[in-house]
Amino acid sequence: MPNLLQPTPLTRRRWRRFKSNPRGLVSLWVFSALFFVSLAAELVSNDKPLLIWYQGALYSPLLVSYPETTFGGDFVTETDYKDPEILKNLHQGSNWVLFPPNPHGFASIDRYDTRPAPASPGQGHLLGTDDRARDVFARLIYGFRLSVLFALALTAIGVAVGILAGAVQGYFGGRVDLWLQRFMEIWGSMPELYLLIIFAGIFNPGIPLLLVLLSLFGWMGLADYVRAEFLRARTMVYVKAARAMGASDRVIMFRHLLPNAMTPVITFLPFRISGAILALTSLDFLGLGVPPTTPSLGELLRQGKGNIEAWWLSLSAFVTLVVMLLLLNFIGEALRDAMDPRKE
Amino acid sequence: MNTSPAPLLAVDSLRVTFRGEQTTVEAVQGISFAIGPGETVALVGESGSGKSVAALSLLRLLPPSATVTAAGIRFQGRDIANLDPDAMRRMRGAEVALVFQEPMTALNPVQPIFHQLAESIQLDGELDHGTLRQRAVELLTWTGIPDPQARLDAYPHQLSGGQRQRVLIAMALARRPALLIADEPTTALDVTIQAQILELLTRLRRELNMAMLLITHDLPMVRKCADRVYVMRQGRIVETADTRTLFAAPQHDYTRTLLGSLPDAEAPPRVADAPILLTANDICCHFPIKKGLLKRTVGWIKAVDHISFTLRRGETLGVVGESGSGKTTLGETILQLNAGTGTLEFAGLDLRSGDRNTQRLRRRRMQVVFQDPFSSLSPRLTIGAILEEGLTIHELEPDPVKRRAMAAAILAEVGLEAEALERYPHQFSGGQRQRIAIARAMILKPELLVLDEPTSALDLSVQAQILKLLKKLQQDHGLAYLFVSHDLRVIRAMSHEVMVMQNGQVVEAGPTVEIFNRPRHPYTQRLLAAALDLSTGGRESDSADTP
Repeated sequence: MPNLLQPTPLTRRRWRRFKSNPRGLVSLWVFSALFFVSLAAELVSNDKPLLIWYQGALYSPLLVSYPETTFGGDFVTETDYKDPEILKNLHQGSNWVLFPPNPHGFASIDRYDTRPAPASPGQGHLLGTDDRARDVFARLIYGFRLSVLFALALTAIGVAVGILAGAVQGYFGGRVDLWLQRFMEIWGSMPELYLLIIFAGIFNPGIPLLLVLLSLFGWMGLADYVRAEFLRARTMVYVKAARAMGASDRVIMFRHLLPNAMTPVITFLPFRISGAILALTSLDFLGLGVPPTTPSLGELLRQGKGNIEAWWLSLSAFVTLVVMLLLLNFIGEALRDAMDPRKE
Repeated sequence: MNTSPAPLLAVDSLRVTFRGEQTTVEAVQGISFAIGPGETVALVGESGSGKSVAALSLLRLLPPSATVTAAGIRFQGRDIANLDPDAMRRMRGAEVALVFQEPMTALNPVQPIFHQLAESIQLDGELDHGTLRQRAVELLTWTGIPDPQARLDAYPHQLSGGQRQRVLIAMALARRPALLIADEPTTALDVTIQAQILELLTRLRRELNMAMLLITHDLPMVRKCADRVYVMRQGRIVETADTRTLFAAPQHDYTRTLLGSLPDAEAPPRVADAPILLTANDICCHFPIKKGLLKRTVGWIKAVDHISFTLRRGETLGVVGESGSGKTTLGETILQLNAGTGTLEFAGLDLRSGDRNTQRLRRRRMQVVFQDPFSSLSPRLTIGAILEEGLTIHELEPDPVKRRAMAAAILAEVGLEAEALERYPHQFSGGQRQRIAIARAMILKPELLVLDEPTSALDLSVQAQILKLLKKLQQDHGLAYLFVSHDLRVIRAMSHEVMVMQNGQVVEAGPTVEIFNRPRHPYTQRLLAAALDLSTGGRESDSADTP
């Protein structure tokens, strides 16, 4: 459908209005920058060096796993690049090693830090370590990436299902609408949290399971708005004209009606994303979410609760969350103003 | 200007400017006009000419984005251009009253009409309930509403369009204003009702010796009612004369175009030995009336009730009737857009046969053009996409380059440039959009075109162009038209045969000439009397009107 790719004059006008809101525009830039940096988190924060020059040959431990014997170690298992023995070899003579700016992975336990975990910021750990001696800054970067990716996936699924359900209800109306509405009412009144607890007990909790479970309930809010837009638009004369032309239901729904129903979808997008981030964080905080090895903001918050004296745990997770949600809400606010039909 | 020495209202160089987000529009560009006491003056123009804006600006009823300036607005010798807001408010209704176009939205839907009438009456001072009711009944009786006592407690939706307009007129006249501004007072009404309302306005005006400023696009109405006419175009007055002179010898080119745009009074010649294209037999379309908790069907609205007709290739069947007569529903049943029943034989083919998909693909042969060109084009698609859609659906042309060329060719045929292909519907005027709608139908090379009030939303001069285009297309392609309209003049100019519908039934059908010259059914006679009296006659009450 070329019409969706090529911006209509209306879309261009809305984009202009969005740009005229400096707070929204700056938030969009900052959020996008943070997200793209976090996409390349392996280059920013990792316990493996980016490049090694060792005895006249170049190694890239990030891509290839080298046994310790390569660098003069004793074992054939993968090299621990933080091992002082190995490090000594790597810095000998003309050898050099290039670590990422933050030389810690999200799961790597710093066995060489002499302080008890959790350790306060300093001594090689920008934001300190958590109660398993893992670098907090590394976990924040990876946690941010995971949150945003998870939220994007959840939103995408929710939007797709929501549009489909809303479109079918609104377009066909009548009995289809009636039954789907009743179904949604029953479905929506299921206790989501208890289901999650039950499923967390039955299955091994992880990202895919959470995605499925949250998607099962996340589509309904949007379906109502799309349904309303379709109900309104399906009585328009251009729909009748399309039917008279012989257009099939599918063509009418997605070519003629959907572009007009996109306003609520796009307006809610940033708020849905921030909602999804919050949902994941809450579940992790409650311990119903991802397994403890996965970097997650909620898990960090929980550690903060458990180690109340380790202020750097709760504070850094809290600040990250607030900044992320604030940016998304500012974007959403600007988007909502830009899409306001009263300004057209 | 040969008005009486002391005009009731004299407007000098009135300007109205609207401030937009980026642009400012000068809707009225320095017009001057005068209305004598007891005189009826018409402000005539097409949509967007600024006639309503000019009238509303007199009472400062425009939105805040409008700026009004004038060298002088004098009403009864007073300068009202610089009147303070409070004095202006007191003047509204008492000395200058308004009647709007749309009687449904001009009345408050949640209050019985007594409340609304009482409000207008009470502005003169507090009255007790009994006197108020009595005054209200008087007013309603005056405007000719049957059983006014009972109507007082009715809500607006319980009244017919004509009755609502009478209530509005009663409200306007409650305080005996010296000037009545009537903004398209009959446009939203059926022809027979139009005639009644006009008669009422003329009578009341005479009885009250009130001046009237009539704002309209309807030339026959002007000819019947007005003493003097101002013709407006794009915010300026281009011509002014007394009615008789203007209609007999229009001076300005635009006035001549406008007068020349009235549809022909001649029916088109019959096509010799045209084969039958469509035979419709016993068409019915009933809508159930459902009531109660269980939605039981308690009755049926018979929108189309047992109608049969035949339509020949290259000919036009005009379907005429007032609103609610079922003419649009009939068109939709023929197009199989609703759940109507009856047999349809189209070029020897039973249209009801075949599965859903066969029926869908058969739609190519019958196309439709709707009334409202603003809502009949998908707002988010380019004109090119709108035109090519039909070709894609019916797989008429797989090559996108050739499809584009076909779209450009059809645009040229309806009189638009090929550059329109890249643009969006909102960038076009009403007449251009209707051309696009026609092109969308024509690109499929249909044999039958259902035209559902195709010119009703358009200005007179645009209507004339569209009718001309439709006639040309019919001749070039041998198209058959099912032409649905409430406008008898348009029907007469277009149709070879006419069906007159009332309450879902055909009351009379036959060749156009026959129906128009010798109507047999009383309803047809009434309809023709109401409509054609307007289009042919002069004023029957000339002598009585001179103040």
